[in-house]
Amino acid sequence: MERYKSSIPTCLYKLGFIAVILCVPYIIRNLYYLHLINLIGIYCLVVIGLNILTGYTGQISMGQAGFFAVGAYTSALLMMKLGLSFWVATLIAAVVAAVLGIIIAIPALRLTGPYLVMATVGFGEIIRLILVNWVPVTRGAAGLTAIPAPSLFGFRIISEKSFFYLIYIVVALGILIAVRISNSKIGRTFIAIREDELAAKSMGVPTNTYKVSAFAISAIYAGIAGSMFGCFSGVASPDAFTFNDSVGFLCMSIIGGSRSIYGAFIGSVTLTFVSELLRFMQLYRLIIYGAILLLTAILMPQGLSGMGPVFRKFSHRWKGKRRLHGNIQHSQRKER
Amino acid sequence: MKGWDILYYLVNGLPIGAIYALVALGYSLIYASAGVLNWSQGDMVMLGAFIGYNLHCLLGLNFILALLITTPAVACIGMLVERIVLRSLRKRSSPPVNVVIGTLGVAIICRNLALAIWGPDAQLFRSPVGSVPVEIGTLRLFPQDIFILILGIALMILLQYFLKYTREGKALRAVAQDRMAASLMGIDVGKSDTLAFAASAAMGAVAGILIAPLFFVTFNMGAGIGLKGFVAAVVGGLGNIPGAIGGGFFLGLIESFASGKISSGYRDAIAFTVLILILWLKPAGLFSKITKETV
Amino acid sequence: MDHGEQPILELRNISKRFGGLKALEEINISIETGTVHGIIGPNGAGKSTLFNVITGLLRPNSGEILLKGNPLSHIPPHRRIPLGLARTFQNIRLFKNMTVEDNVLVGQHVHTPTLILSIICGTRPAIEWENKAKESANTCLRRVGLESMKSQFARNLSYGEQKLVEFARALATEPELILLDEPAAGMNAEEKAGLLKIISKLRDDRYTVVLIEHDMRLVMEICDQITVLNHGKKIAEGEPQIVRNHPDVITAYLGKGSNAYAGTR
Repeated sequence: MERYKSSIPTCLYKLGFIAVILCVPYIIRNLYYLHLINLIGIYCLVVIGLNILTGYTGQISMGQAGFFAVGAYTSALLMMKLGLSFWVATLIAAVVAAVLGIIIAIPALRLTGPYLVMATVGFGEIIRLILVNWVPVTRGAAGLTAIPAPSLFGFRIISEKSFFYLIYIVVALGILIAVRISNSKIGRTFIAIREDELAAKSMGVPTNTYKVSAFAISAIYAGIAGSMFGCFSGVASPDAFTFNDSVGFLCMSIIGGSRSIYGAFIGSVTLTFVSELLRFMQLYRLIIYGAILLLTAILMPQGLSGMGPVFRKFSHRWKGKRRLHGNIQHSQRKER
Repeated sequence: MKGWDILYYLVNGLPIGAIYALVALGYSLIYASAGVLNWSQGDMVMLGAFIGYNLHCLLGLNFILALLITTPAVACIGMLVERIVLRSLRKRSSPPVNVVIGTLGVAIICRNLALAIWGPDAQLFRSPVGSVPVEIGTLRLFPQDIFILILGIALMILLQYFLKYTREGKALRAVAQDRMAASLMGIDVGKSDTLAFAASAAMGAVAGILIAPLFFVTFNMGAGIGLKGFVAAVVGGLGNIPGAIGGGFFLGLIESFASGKISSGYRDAIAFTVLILILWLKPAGLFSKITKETV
Repeated sequence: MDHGEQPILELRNISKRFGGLKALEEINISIETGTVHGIIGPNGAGKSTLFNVITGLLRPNSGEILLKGNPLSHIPPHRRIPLGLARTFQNIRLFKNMTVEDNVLVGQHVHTPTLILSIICGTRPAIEWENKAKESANTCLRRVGLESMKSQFARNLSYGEQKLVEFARALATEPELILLDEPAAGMNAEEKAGLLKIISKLRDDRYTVVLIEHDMRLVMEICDQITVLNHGKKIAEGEPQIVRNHPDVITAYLGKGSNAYAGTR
């Protein structure tokens, strides 16, 4: 009964939060900002996957743009050449990405640290180079254009506003599933592998299966995000999926805090907005961007989402001081 | 395959391989001493190329003199990176991936400072040894290629000498073996890191000046070459000095064969596939032994 | 398939070489169900190697390992856990950034099904299994007396407590045979007394315990059988009384001509 009572307010909070989110396209009228917000949602999905792989399981990937690209191209080609619907195409794209994730996981199983970084970088580059060179299918450097818009019950999702709802429903589902996985036995096992693979193995954990699954999960997230990205921007060209993009995803993950699912959202919001806010600085924009990366890496080892305890400590100290101060005043008053 | 063909690929692959080897040595040296990846390594190459370009092509300084000024200048930048970035990261005992992001921040700063200073245009760096090829049979040897090989190999020998016979070099090798034990034996491990960063940056700078006449000098040239150097270092076994040299030449030759035999567009893709397969078979690189973890 | 007096673990002619070094040579050990078996020997005698061979982290060059009569040789390490084999490590290998409870829950891994769909949908079966796993994790923590610490991060515990968490984590795999690698190392007298109690309680509950230990007092007090290794060879075996007075053992520990252990008790 007690549990029931306490769950009413949290339920209200949740409903309120959802209501606010649903109103966003009506509050933010500027289409450019809405466009950015949509992009953030797409990036967020990629970074959630990356957090499960890197933050939870401890497998650094610097080739996430490869899965993102595979998702975008697979679904776009399926829609354009075979006339499949967006939903079926996305499903297939996710499966294709997952298969590639498993394939890259096989050599990755034996690798750690820099060796794993190299393998994932190599994977991302291989995908990009295939996109550039397989001209008959991918149209090479020019890329695919006029990727059709998704439609649902005859309603075409084409405006920024309708994309907002599509993207954020998927993001919400993505976060929900990721949180459930990370709080479950699976998430716990991922963390155990990150902390000490040999000990995990000695506790009966089939570590290889779990590492392959982590790669597959991250690939599925990136693949679905890629599929939406293709439809959302209408074009897909190899230069949207470079090593720099992979690095960008990793930065979002680290800045937001790779050991938290919500960190993925914080990271993608922060990095996207920072890079937009710096636009007015033109030439110096990227210099400052680099400096921000550097400072985050130094000052926030756990990313922004890991700052919670630090803030709490500060606020405790502040409150403590105030209380102490109050006590002193109180006792002084007494003395008088 | 005919003998000429093999020679052709060797002639194409070895000079670029030497460049990769120099950059790879930078990664390996830093990894050996400090145990971290320094992603700003490629941008040391870019800075070397640009400072050299400034001194040699703009100010008209003698090439050797330009080389002698550029190298220590970039080495100083490398030292700064270690002193400021790595030490702050160490102090907070950040995870390795934070070092990657931090040095990546340095790379972005360097790259865009170069853009602010020298502009977005690609600059032509004329070869100091001329560009008239020597023809032997069907082979064409470019003087710059030969120059790269000679200077590159000389530098590698110099580094070996430094590591084997000087006090600082021996200290660095001791730190690479066991950081804790070395520090207990009274070796200043911080100094060893600084030295590794400085030497790596210096080698990057030389690589930059050497490669400048082959390609144009641009502000973002460091990204590609840095990545190649990293790949070469990993394939040779990070922290393994002869391995890095072997890895560099190996990568150069694979690229040369792949672009000649199969397709120049897929050159890098083939190189990466081969390298991933190698790592699959030898997870610690071509020239390093696998150390299996036990308790 | 109960043969009555069949040993729970049987090592037959186990040899392990590292290059030229013979870490284990023709080792034969047989461990009875429900006993506490000590493995002692000077440093470098091959004790930890023996554990690594039993758990499958190392593959022996020759010989056979039988668990309850079934050969283990071709079973990978993680599949030996469900067969009832668990271990702790000489140098603590906890999951440092996880809570004590989560550490122990990882030990439960093989005994809870991974219901992916149920986890994703947040439905009943996954929650129920999770609660069940937590219950047995708590039972294990209670056994080692750390239930009150379950929400602490493992890294924040003292050395002795961390050893106990490892113990609890091993218990959580529901083993029949537990290998303890120097469980008392780094513990104070009080903690050691606690450890003794835990181990004797386990023996009462028909668990089989094999332990490597340097603390002779503890070994002599708790073990039913002792095997002594030196330079990879078995030099003595038997009850504590017999082993203690075995001339080879005294030589191995203290060199020729010593007789110091004869009177420790």
